[in-house]
Amino acid sequence: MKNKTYIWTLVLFLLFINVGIMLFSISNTKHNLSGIKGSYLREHYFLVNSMTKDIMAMNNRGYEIDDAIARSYDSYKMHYEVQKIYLQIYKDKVSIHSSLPIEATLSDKEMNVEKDITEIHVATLNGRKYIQISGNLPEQYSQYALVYYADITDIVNEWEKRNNSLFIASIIFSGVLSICLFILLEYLFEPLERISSISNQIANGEYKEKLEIRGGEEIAEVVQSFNTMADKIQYQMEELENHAREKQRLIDDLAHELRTPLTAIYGYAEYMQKTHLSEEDKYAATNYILSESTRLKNISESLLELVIIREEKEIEMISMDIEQLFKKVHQTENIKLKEKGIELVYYNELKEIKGNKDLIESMVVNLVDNAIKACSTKGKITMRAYFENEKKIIEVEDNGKGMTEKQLLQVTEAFYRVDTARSRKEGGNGLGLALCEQIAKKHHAELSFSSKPNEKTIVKVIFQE
Amino acid sequence: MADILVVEDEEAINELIRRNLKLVGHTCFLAMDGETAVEMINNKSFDLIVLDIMLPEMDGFEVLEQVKGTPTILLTAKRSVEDRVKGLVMGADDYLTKPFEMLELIARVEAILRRTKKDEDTFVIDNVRVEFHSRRLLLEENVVEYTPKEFELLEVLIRNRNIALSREKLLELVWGFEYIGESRTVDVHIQKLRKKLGLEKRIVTVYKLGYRLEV
Repeated sequence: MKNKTYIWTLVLFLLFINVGIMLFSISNTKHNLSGIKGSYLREHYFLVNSMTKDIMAMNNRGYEIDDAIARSYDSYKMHYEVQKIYLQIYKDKVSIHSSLPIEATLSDKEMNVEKDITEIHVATLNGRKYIQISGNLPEQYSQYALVYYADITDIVNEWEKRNNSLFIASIIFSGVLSICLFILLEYLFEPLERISSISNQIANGEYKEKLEIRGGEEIAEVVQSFNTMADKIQYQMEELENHAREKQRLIDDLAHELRTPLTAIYGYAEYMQKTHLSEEDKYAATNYILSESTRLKNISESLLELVIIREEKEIEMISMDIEQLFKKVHQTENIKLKEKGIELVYYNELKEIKGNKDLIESMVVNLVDNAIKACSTKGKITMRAYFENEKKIIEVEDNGKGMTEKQLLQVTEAFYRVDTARSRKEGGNGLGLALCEQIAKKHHAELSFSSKPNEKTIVKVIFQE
Repeated sequence: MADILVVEDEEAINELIRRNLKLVGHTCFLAMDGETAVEMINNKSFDLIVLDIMLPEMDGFEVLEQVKGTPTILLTAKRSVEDRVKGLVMGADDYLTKPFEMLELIARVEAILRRTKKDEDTFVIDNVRVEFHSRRLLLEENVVEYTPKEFELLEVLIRNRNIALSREKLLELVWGFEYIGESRTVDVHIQKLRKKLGLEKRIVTVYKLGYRLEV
């Protein structure tokens, strides 16, 4: 691109400049030539007249015409030779006098001109240039012709010298121009080259490179949009990488989650098949097989639910009574609450909330489930529904063992457990809060966690409308 | 008869390993997390530790750092080569990937115990006494003549006692992979062993599976 621009600009420029110079010098030469032609023509005319007068005078004094012409010729010849003007006299087309330093006669064709017309030529004789003017003497001497040669070699050389120096100047000028053009293009194309090198870097995965904004308006615009593009690519790549990492982690975790119950089921089945067991041992082994199978079933159900909620485009939203929701949750969790001796209370300031009944219920049950797991015996769990900053909020608070800030960051990750061993014992599969988050997202709601270790944990579901 | 510490946060698997190792005569001690494990290591000396890498809070590698001199088998759910290499570099003796087979667990435990000379040298059942290192077989204090394959078969049965072994497995363990024999060979050798040592009631035939030495 740059080289093309350079070559074409240079070629066009040089072409126009040199053609211009050529045309100028040709027309100049022509103009000059016609100028001097005119003056020599006048000179010739004057010479013919004065010679005729001389001849007439001498004729009257009794000189022969030839003699008179010879005398007159001699006197003028001397005078003009100094000015490098040479004369030739023809009588009946035969040269009788010549002051030319070389032998030259007019050709027949040149002689055949009409009597009273004066002919003008530029003739090259022996390498020198002459203006050749031929014309007959008037009336009574018309068998005589006067040819006038003006040596213009020096003048023409002078012109040529001037033209040559013009061409030399144009060559020097072209050289300077080509260098200047090169530097100019180098400067103008520099941002483009940087863009291309940085695009290559981006193509190789280095998204952090940025261009500085420099150069004219157009270039600055290109650079700016290029930077915007690089930013976007970087952002999207990071998004993709995060996404991929998250997926990979989920798969790793899932593999681990599945492998553990599988190991147990396989192991106990093999144990039962290959060894001689007492009834008690048999019961223990089958019990492990059953509970681990249940765990697998729970994981697959929760995962399926997670996928279905995520895939579902539109969920059915209805207005539901909060009071009823809390009552239903209490009913569902009643057995677990009684087992651990935990008290569940609720306060409601909202009339209703819009959402999918099953999903909202499942979310609150999950949150209360977590609260129960966090509480020791004689704990207390509080459900609240109220307005805050004109947003509807459902909140579950427990006075259990709480979480550290680091744990809070990870709680919604699938398969993350704050207390692995205990959670498994109580039948948790590590998917509860991941599910809650998906449900909240479907309702354009947000989950917010706050906790103090060994004191309390509050989970808020903040609805946006 | 080794003392083995099993560190595994999944109760089901912990219990499974304990039960399997108990079958072949080892005594197991269970730890559900890293801290407990380290405490137990400091208070008692074990012949072997079976250590899960994925433990809550303090993971297997951290526990491994605290283990001084006790042979360790790592238990890992991940198929990650890095984890295994890291464990082996840190001084673990072997590793086992979940899910594992009973015989694999027992074989690896046995191999390490043999290397550290903590394996049993003599085994007594009824009137029979087997001395592994000197390869002597005694019935009521009288030396019994045997072929090398018979002794090896008996050893495999003892090492995996209380566990049913299929004919194919026995062929593989005693005769080796390259042996292209019939499983009848196993039956013939078992018959000879039973007769020679009077172990008809001890070496039982398990329906569709193979044989088991019951102790």
